[in-house]
Amino acid sequence: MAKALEKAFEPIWNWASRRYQAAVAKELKKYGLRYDDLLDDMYDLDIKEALARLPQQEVDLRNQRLKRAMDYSGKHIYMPKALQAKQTPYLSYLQDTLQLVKEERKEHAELGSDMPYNRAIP
Amino acid sequence: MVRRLSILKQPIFSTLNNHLIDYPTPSNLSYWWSFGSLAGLCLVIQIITGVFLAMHYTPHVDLAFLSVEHIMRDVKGGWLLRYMHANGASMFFIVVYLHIFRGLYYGSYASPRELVWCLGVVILLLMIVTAFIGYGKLRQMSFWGATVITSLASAIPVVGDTIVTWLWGGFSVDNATLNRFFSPHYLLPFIIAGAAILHLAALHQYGSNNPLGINSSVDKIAFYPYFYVKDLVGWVAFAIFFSIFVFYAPNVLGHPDNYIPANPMSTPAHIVPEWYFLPVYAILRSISNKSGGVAAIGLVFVSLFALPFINTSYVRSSSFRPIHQKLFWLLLADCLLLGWIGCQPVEAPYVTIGQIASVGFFFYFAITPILGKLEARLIQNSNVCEDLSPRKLSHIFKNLLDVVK
Repeated sequence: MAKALEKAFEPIWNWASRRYQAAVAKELKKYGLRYDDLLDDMYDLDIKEALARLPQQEVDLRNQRLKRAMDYSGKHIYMPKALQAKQTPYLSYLQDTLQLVKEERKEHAELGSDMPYNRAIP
Repeated sequence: MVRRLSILKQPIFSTLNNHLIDYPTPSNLSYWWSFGSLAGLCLVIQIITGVFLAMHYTPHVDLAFLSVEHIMRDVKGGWLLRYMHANGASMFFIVVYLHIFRGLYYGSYASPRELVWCLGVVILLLMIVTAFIGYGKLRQMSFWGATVITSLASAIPVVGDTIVTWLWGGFSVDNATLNRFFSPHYLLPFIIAGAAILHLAALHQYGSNNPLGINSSVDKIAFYPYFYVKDLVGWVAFAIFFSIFVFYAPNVLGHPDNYIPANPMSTPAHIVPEWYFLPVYAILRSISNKSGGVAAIGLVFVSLFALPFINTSYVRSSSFRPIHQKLFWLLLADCLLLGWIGCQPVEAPYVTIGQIASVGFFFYFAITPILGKLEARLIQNSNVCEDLSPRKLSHIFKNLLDVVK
C-alpha cells in the first residue's frame, strides 16, 4: 500500500524536487557556490570530521569558493552570467564522506559508545 | 597594524580591544547586522532619560499624573526627556523586532548560536515586562490595561487570585501597585544590560553569522574601523527617524486616552496595550478561555526558545531555502495582521481573522522540524538529473561504456 502510494506521488515529488533544485541552484550560481559549501562545520561536528577527511585540495577549493562568495556578497554583486553558466552547484564532494561519518556515529550509538568529539551547548 | 600604544594590551583594555576593536567580523555583514548595536543604543537612551525622569516623577496615586505634567511643563527639557523616553521604548521594540526577524531570515538562531538566541528571547521577555510596568498606572489606558493583564494571573489554578492580590498590593490597581511596579521598572533595565553583555559574550564565542549563512572564517576583518563606521551610519539614520517622532509626532504611537487621569469608575470602550504588544494581545484574545489565552502567550515564548533546537535544516540563510523564505514572509505578514487585529474590537470578523492568524503564527514553528528534512530530501532526490554526485557520474559512465561495448 505504501509502495503504491509512493509510486503514485513520485511524479509530483520529482516535479517539486526539480523546481526546488532549480531555485536553489539559481541562487548558488550567483555566488559561485556548491550546495556542499553551505554546510558549516560549526553547525555540526560531523561536518567538521567529514571535512577533516577530505583531501587538502578539496578543502582549499571549498575555502576559495567561500571567500569568493563572501566577496560578491559584501559588494552586493553577483558572479558574471557567463561564469554562472559554468557552475556546477550540485557537484558533491562532501555528501559521501558525511554519510560515512553519520553511519559511524550510528554504529557508535548502537555499540553504546560515542564519537570522540561531541558538543555540549554552549 | 602598528600599535603605538601598549595600553590595548593591558588587562581590561585588552578585553575591549579583543571584542570591540580587533574583533574578527565576517566581511560581508549588511546593515541588517546594525540592529544589535542600535538596540544597545536604545537601552542606553532609555536608562539615561529614565534616570533623569525619575528625579522628577512621583510614584503616588494622587501625584503621579500631575508630576508628569510638571515634567512636561516646568522641568527644563522635561518635555524632551519624557518624549524621548516614551518614543524610545517604541524605537527599542522596532529595533529589536527587526533584529529578531533578521535572525529568523538568515538562520542566526541555528547551531552553534543557540545560546545567543535564547539569551535574546530572555532580553525580549525582560523588555516586555519593563515596558508593561513602566507604562504608568494613573492614566485611563495604562490603568485599565494593567488591570486586564495583571488579572490574567488569576488563570493560574489554586493560587491565581492570591497572586493577583499580591501583584496589586490590594484589591485593585492602586497606590501600592504603582510603587511596586515603579521599583522593578527602575531595576530591570540594568538586568537587561547584564543580559545584553551575556548575549554579546555568547555571540563572540563562535562569531557572527553572515547573509550567506556560510562559514565565514575564510574572510574576516577587524570590527574597527569597518563595522564601527557602518554601525555609526545606522545610528545616525536611527537618530533622524527617532527625532521625527520626538519632535514632530511625539504622541502618534501612544493612545489619546492616556491624557485622561485614571478613572476606576469608567472603563474605556476598547482597552488596547501599546502597539508593540498588539500581536501577542491578539493571540491572547483569539482564545475565549482565559487560561487558554494565557497558555497561548506562554506558547509564543516557548516556541521562540525552542526554535534553535527544533530546526533541522543544515542550510542557514533563507537565500538558499526558497520554501522557508516564503514561510518567513508569511510569518511577517501574519505578525502585522495580528498587530492590526490586536487593536480592533472583539467582534466579527476580527475574531475569526485573529484566530486564523494565530494558527498561522504557530504553524511556522510547527513546520520547522519537518521543513529542514523536507528541503534536504528535495535536494537529494536522485531521480532528478540535477544530482551529479561523483558516484552517480561514474555509474552513468560505466553504463555508457557497457552500451558502447
